[in-house]
Amino acid sequence: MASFKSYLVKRIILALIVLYFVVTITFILSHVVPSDPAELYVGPKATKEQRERAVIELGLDKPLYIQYLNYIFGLFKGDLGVSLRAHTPVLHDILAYLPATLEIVIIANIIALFVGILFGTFSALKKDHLEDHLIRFVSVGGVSIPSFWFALLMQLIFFGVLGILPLDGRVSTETQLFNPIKVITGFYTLDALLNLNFPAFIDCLRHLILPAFVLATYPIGLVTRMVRSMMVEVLNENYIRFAKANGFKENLIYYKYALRNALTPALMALGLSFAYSITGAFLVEVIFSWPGLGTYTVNAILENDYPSILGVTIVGTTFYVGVNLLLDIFQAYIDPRVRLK
Amino acid sequence: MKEALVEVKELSLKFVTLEGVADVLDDISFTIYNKEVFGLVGETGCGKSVTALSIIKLLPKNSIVKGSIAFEGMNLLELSENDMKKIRGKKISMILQDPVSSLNPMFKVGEQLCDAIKSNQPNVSNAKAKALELLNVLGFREPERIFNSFPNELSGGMQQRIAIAIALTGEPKLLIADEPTTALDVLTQAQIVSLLKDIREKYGTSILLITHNLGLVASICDRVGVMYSGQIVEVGLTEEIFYETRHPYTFGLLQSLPYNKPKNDKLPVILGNLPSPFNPPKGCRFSERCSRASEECRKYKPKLYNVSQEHAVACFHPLKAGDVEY
Amino acid sequence: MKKILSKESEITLKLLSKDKLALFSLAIILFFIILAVFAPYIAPYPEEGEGKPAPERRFLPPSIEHPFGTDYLGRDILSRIIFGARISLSVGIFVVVCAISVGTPIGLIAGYYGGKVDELLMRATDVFLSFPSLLFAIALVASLGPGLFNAMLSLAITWWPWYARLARAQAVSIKEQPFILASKAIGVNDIRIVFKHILPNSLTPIIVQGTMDMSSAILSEAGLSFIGLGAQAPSPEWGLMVSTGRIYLLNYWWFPVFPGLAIFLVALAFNLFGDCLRDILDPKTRKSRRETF
Repeated sequence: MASFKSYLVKRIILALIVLYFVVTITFILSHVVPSDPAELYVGPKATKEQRERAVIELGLDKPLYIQYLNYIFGLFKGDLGVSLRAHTPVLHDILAYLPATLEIVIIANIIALFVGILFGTFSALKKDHLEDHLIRFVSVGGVSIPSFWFALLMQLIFFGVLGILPLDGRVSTETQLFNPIKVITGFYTLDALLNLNFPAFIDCLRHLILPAFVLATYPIGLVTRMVRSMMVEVLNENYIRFAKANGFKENLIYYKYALRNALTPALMALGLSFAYSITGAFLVEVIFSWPGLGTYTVNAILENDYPSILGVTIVGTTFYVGVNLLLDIFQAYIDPRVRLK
Repeated sequence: MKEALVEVKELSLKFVTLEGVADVLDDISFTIYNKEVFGLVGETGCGKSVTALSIIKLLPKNSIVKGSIAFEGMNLLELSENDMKKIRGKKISMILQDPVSSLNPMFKVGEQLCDAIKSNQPNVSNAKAKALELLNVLGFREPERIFNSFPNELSGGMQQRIAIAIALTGEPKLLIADEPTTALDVLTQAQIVSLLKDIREKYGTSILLITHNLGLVASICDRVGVMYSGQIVEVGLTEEIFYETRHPYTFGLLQSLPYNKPKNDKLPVILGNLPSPFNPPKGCRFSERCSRASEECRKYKPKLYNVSQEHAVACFHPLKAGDVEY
Repeated sequence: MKKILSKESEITLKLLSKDKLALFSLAIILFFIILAVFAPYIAPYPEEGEGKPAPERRFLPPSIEHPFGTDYLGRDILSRIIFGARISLSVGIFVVVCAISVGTPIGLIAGYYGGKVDELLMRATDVFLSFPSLLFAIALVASLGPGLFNAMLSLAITWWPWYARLARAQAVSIKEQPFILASKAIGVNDIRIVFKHILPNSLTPIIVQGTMDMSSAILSEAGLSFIGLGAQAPSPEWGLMVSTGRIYLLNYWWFPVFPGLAIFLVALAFNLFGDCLRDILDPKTRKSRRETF
């Protein structure tokens, strides 16, 4: 599949170019900051010498282009700067908070993929009937609901009124005291399983349900809509009519042929929703006090810790570019027409 | 000797649209016999394609159908969708005008062919072998290579042949071919035509050939039906239609063919346009464009009546033998 | 060409008027527009709507005098929500109009001229499209300082690429059409072709996208205000109200719940309307409503 390889190479080069610009723009943004980073670094009570030392330490005395070059080279080494409040390397902080965010993001998107394809296909097959209208309402609703508000509603209902799920956090204090999980991967549910610590596993799961569910609403809506619209289009295509006219079994027509043709937009929708997930997770994490990247970022914002903010921006964007790259490659693999572009 | 395979009786079709009700087929009747190639000819928009869709019952949802289509002792129009599924691909199959859009671009040809075999001949144990055999029959010299190709890697003619292969997997009694050569170049057209002839010989399949290409009709059809604006205006053996033309419209069609004409003469043209299906004329639908039309033609609808055993025409002032000179 | 446009519009309007969901969502949109425009006259407590506290009436549950209750400063929440409609709708309009005005010409030019211009412009849009808009907004606002205007600006900056892409796709498919080639042959000026001939025919997907983006803009802006990067107190912005009310969720639930409900309704209305509009305008789905032979 020579054409696939050349597409692969082209796509990767493109992604790298894009990343370069992203990084540069982030650098430019970081130098528009009105507040004085050195001052933030040493705190308001610092002496003049301490502040001057901070300036040298942060490299702010060097000319702009040198700072830029240091910045770029630093990125290759994985150096995203140092957090202004914690004085710890930003990358280190980000990696520490990342697994928590990934845990809910991944689960939310998996849910969304399955539910979305199911709803979307069913909706298309029952087009213009009641089931179609209901599903459409739900999917448009999912895309329109503010995640932070929905999270609050869920808390109100499931904790405040029904009392069956915990309010927030990743793990209850009881578990932390009596059944602590030895952290291996950073994914608490996985770690609990690996530890064979089943009570802790259940506890983590109970804490995970609401945030993951709330986070899944937007992707479910998006994937359902896209799958439905593509399925409707596909079902009208000549090759479906041809298959029908020539006796292909119905299951084959819908679940093998039509669905494969409709998978492409499902994956596209997933790519889009993944981007949303990263930022949507921020809002959800805040509500559920989930110790992930979102909480980290919001705290950084409140304290004007710009290296942290920009570090998150770079990591988040890189993730987004990477995920889209993977999805594009996968799409090119299953749909030969894409490679010809 | 000649057994009727499909008998279409007084088939009428209307579409309900936002712009009104379109009267697309008006009481058409014709018969297709066993092992024959029947051509349905007419201009674009005369209703030939929807006639095909009516037989195989793949009409859009806003259709209103009346009449009967007799096939193997059943009225196809009264069959449930489940029963109809047992007929499609197995007793009646169809190939579409554009071969490029008939095949699913995301699956290899071989896989689609095998799926067709599994659907239409579930008792076959080795689908791949049968698929390769079919490809062979259809004239492919490298069946293995074709089997492993994607549709967009093949030419239009090849794709049409594969479409035909898929249509034949169930060994149907009737193959409906809707403008099978229109999208292809002349050389490939000839190839497909001879292929269709072979199929008729080999499998005994009847073919309903829908086309606006009179040359194609002349080369392969046993009998022809001429359609105009949702009506059958003339039907008969191919020789009768071409050499003993009765209907003025058929005559106009034949006259407009650029063969055997002096070089500098203008090609004769039938002036005017097809009447709108939303407001069809009360009498003969061709009357507005017909040079022989009289008051009766505008008021009353002519019905098909026989002028010989196979030859029928629907006209109040048909041409007579001898009117036409070649 | 003008005649064709109006026949299409005629059928569009006819179909729209028959679509109950479209009418329903349009009604909601109009309702909020009226609320926004006539806020000072409709809100029962207009000064509280704008921010004046009434500490003697804190945390009152929903009642006849205060259908949505009062907040932590005693202000009538219904009035605040009505005034908040002004902010949300203007944010949506500003962001979408900016994004369309910048993105469409860029996309049309890229699609029409093709070649190096196209490559260059499309790479630029790729870069912007790679930024998850909220992250970029956070970064920009963190640099420039919080505030409603900065939030709107950052959203507009991250969104114009979508319209550029849409417009470009339209331009590419339309420019090959015979009437364009004919105009070129006569010698019509390029800019004229792009803006007088290609633009009107490209509007359909842009309008659909714009309608649904109104909803996304309002949601994004509410999100930004929620984290503190958008509107600031005492603004009656809905996201801000949810954020302030959050800590009172379990005791005085009406405080965060009703403003959030407003966000949901407006976003839902725009999305539903855009969805219906797309079903009607998209030739592929429209075919099934207007079967031709």
